[in-house]
Amino acid sequence: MSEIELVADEITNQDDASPEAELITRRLGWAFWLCVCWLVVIVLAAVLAPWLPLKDPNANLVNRDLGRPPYSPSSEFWFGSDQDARDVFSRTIFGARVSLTVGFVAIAFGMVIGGTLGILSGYFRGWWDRIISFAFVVLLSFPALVLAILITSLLDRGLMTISLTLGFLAIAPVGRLARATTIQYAEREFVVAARTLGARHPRIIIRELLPNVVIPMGALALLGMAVAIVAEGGLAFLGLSVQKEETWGKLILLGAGSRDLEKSPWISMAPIFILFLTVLALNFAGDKIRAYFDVKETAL
Amino acid sequence: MNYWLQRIGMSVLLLLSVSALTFGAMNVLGDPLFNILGPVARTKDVRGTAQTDGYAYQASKGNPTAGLVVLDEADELASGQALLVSTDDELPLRTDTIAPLDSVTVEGGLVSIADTVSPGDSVVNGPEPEQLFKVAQAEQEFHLDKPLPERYARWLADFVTGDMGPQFSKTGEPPVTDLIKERLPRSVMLLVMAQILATAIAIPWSLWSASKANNIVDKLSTFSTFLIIALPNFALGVILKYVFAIKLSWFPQTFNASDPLLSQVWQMFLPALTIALPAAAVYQRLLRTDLITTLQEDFILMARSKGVSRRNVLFRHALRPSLFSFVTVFGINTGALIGGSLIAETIFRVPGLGSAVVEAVATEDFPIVLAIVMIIATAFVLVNVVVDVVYSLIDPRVRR
Repeated sequence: MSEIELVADEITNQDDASPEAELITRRLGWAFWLCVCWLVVIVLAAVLAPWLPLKDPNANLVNRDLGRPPYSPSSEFWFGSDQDARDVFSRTIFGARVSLTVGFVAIAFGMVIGGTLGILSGYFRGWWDRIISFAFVVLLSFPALVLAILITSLLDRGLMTISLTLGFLAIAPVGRLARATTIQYAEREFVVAARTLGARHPRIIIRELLPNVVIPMGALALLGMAVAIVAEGGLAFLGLSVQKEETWGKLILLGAGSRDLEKSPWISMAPIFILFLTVLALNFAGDKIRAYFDVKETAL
Repeated sequence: MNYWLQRIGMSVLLLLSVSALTFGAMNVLGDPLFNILGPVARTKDVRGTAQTDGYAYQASKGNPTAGLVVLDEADELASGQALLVSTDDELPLRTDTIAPLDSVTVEGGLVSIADTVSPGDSVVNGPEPEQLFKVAQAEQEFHLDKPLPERYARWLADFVTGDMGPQFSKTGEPPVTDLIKERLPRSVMLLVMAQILATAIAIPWSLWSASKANNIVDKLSTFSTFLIIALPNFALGVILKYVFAIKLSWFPQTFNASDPLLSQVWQMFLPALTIALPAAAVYQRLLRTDLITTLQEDFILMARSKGVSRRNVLFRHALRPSLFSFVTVFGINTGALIGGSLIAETIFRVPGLGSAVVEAVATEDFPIVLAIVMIIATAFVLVNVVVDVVYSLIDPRVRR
């Protein structure tokens, strides 16, 4: 075992094979479908937000009967309003658009780049594998948030920059999973058979290996999306999130000052609640899929 | 022995690549000169580009070309005009060099440019000489006129000897090292507190959970670890602040650096808990699994049949052999906790490294960011090595 693999293994050897994971291996269960339902609801709400009968998230809906804003939650303002009498509920839904986009773009980017690198290095091995694996180790040896801080502070803070930065962070964990899975399958009989039949490398990779690598990566994608959404929130708290659009992180930060928390906790608690449910659903669904397909290694 | 040499070499290589990456990103993606001087640095910005073959001048940003003369050979220039110098001259210049007229002397086909303009510079229609001087001075002070590898080597040599260089803003004062010296102990204290708290929560919790394995209590506690892990640390921080600092007023809302140490520890409790709780949940899951595995071993049965009480079996026999993966993850997790501590520090206004990063980013003071990134990476590597050492001490089989 080379020294590179040694270090790499130390970083990722967080074995998750708990007893219950073995028990539930072949069953998704109702809780999983509940999570999926929630995810579908929140994604639909985010996608359809402009056409849903929601209040304008940026309008100052001052209501003389209610006195001075912020208004507490009521039938008119489901989640209350903020200091500028903006509806927290519709702001949270519109925030979901940006947060989910960040999560999705980030993990898609990480999957494509990391997956490609991982499969190639796992399939061809040799020096490229060493270099790529070392690059993964370097990436993993940064605390992710610090790297995100570094990049976002150097570049502009557009939606795409933030998403791709977080996607960049996903490359190493995804790549390592893809590499490990590829190595596991590269010597299996069906690959050897394909090779013996004269299949070329691209065909073996795409037709034989990719379908096997995609499944564990799919489980990682859900977990990774949750991580990306949370990371975006963390960046928001450091003042480094998307500049223009409102995200969940920025909404929470907006109500997180001492005075706001004291007088109108709902401004930050409402988005926290929605964010929490979404992350919970993503984590749970990801875990279940991972257990279902019996994926051993995760590195997120 | 060989293994350790490899391990150390690996760590050094890793730190080198991390620092090179960071340094490179800072200098290539960022603009150090602008960070130091602000808009003055822009006086030497390229406003137009010249093509290498011809001497065409391409105006951009609405910059008028009228004041610029494109030179094929050295010519007489009218005052107020600028000069585009090509590489064919004596000067080791790029073709896009544009210099103000008064710094250029032309003698019989030989073009020379005054010292204040360094090669590669470009100036459109003459900035004030003292501005140029300022730029040149700053470049000299921060070694920005040197090529990137040399600057990196210089920085590295300084860093290794404990000098992290001058700050960009506030024109270099105080040195980054002083700032780090002030902030680092607080962050370390916060992290240590968090790890102690996390361990103090996780060990009893996992023992309790494992002793009632797959019981309803155990299932509930596993479920609650899941909830805690799903709660982002900033959200947890806000909730803790709301409940314990604002509603219950048990803890102060913010940190005060001038208070005595004991009350500082008290003030750090909430930020530490913010970091510790998710970590505790991770540790609990891990320890519980390992404990359950250990409890099924023969020597546990043996101990029980000798009449050792359940409590003693748990504490004396089962706990120690179950700690191996906990030790590993404890170390690895430190990296993740550093990220969490940055956020906890901002929420509770603890002036540690986290807030230093935030401030430095806001003022684009990259030497501070670089220093902190390096400290964190070094800490990360060190912790990993320490974990390795501890691991091989506990379990000699690891030393292959």
